[in-house]
Amino acid sequence: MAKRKAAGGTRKTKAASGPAAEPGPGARPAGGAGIGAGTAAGIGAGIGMEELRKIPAFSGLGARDAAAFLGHMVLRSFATGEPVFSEGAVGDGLFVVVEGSIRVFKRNPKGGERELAILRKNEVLGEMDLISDRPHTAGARAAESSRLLFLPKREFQKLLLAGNPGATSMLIYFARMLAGRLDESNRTMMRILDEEKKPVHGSEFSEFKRRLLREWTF
Amino acid sequence: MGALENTLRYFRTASEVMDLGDRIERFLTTPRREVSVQIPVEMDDGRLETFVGFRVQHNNARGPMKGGLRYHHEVDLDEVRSLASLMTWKTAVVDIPFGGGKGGINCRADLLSEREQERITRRFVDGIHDVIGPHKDVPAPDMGTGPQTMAWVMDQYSKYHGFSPAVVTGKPVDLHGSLGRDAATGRGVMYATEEVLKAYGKGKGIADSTFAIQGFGNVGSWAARLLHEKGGTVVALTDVKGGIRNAKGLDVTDVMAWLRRTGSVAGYPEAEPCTNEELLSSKCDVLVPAALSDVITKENAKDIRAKFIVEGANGPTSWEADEILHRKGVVVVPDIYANAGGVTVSYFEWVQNLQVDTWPEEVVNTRLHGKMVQSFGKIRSIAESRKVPLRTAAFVLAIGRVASAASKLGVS
Repeated sequence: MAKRKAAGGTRKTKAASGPAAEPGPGARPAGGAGIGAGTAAGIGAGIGMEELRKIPAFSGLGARDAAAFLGHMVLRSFATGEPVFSEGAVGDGLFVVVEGSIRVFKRNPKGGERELAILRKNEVLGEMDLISDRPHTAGARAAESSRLLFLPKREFQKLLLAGNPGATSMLIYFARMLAGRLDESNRTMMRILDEEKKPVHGSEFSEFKRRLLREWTF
Repeated sequence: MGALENTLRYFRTASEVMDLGDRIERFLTTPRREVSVQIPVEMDDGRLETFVGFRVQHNNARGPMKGGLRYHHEVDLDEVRSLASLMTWKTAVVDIPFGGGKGGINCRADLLSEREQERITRRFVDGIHDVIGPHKDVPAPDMGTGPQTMAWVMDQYSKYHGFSPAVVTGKPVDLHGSLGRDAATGRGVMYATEEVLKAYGKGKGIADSTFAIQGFGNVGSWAARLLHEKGGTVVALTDVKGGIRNAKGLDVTDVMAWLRRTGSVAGYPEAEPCTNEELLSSKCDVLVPAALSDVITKENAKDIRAKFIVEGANGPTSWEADEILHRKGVVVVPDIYANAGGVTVSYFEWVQNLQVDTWPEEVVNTRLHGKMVQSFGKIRSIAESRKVPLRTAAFVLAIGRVASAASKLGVS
């Protein structure tokens, strides 16, 4: 892995060699151990229709759409520490945590990682991949032995082009999620700007002295 | 305490007018040094008591720190800190070369014998003699302390550092004190009144005006006496025990004789009785609150009928009341100027001590008059050019002088 990361100069290389590429090291065929094992609609993913619709991102799906989506999704297992995708790589689909937890992190320029979030059951990652070709701004790896549901980008786009209402409702869901994040980041930016409201050029104290003596006589 | 909040509000208002900004504001409001000392003392009955004393040295950009020593059971670091900063502004308003400081001991001064007070004072000086001094920090009397206390401070300090009368002011007149120090705050109030009437009295001076004075202690009694001497008509007077009023005017000298006999102005025969609350709303041209803080509140501000208020006490007007009065068109002469006569003559005492000289009382009074006139002129010109009340103008003047000195000294 270390060698791949070091050599990963272009997006294409990374995407091709990235751990998320199918069939990734963690990919397993859907098995009987899945949450929804045995239900008719869940054969492809190892998860039932109802379970799928409990996941916020998929909650707008009707029964028929849910079945259509499940047909395109696969359940993948990751061992503790195993990468889901790497920072800088172009992703190829959406993950939903079904079991376990995923650590999202950013690499420091000087080495080391800064944790951004821990994602748990029913939370999604890689959602941007469905609508964008930008590389991942953060990496993700399993914080414990985990299982993730994977929806490949090209399958989602096919459903979207076919006018699947479920795909549209997911798009709206992600758009709202992005609006929320943008709002939060605007707020953060305002806070930072507030703190730096009066930028200091040279000596604040000398500037104060100049202003005081210019504007007032005491 | 309301007074602390008031000071902070008034400072903020001025700070906004001057657009100081957070960091400069913090630089100007943070005390330079805060000392707290333990004072173990053997009481007259043999008990060992431990008192806590404080000295807060707020700012020395304009000169040695200056401020009272307060013996009171409510003294704590927060109170002393706030009073110390008030001294910084007060010395700056009247342009004497001092900074601001304040100290105190948490004790029941009224329950201590004179010998206990002496031991406490001397042990306190043992604890702080390193940080005070004629050119460092010069204490003065305040609530619960007087000339005798200052004599002990001088004596104890002199044991460590040699003869140093200038280490403290407000000393007894026959022990390096200054003539005119006793009357100084009241006299300053009278001069302040004279100035504000000259500026905004529409031709009416002290002799053509009526006065209501709350408080008949050191400040109130001297103010009343001096206003009366200048031909003013004092129509109401109160002290802790009660008050008197007479629309035709009170003979203040006669009232003082009554007070010496009976211990209160209350019951003076040639007047009607009057409560402290009634005094505030009495019909008069000038109201002089010269007793406690926070007596003019948002509840009674609307009832005030005076055209002028001259603050002899510290913080008698709450900030809410201050806004109401301003809207009503009442001219308020702020405490940091109006009662600065005391610290001004303390400065004269310090100068006389350093020169090992004594000035005649006329010299003291003439110089005090000069300071009060000059300072009012500055406050007035800021108030008129920036269209702010006299109080804001006084704070702007004070903060400006301190800031100007501090910025020239630098921080490096």
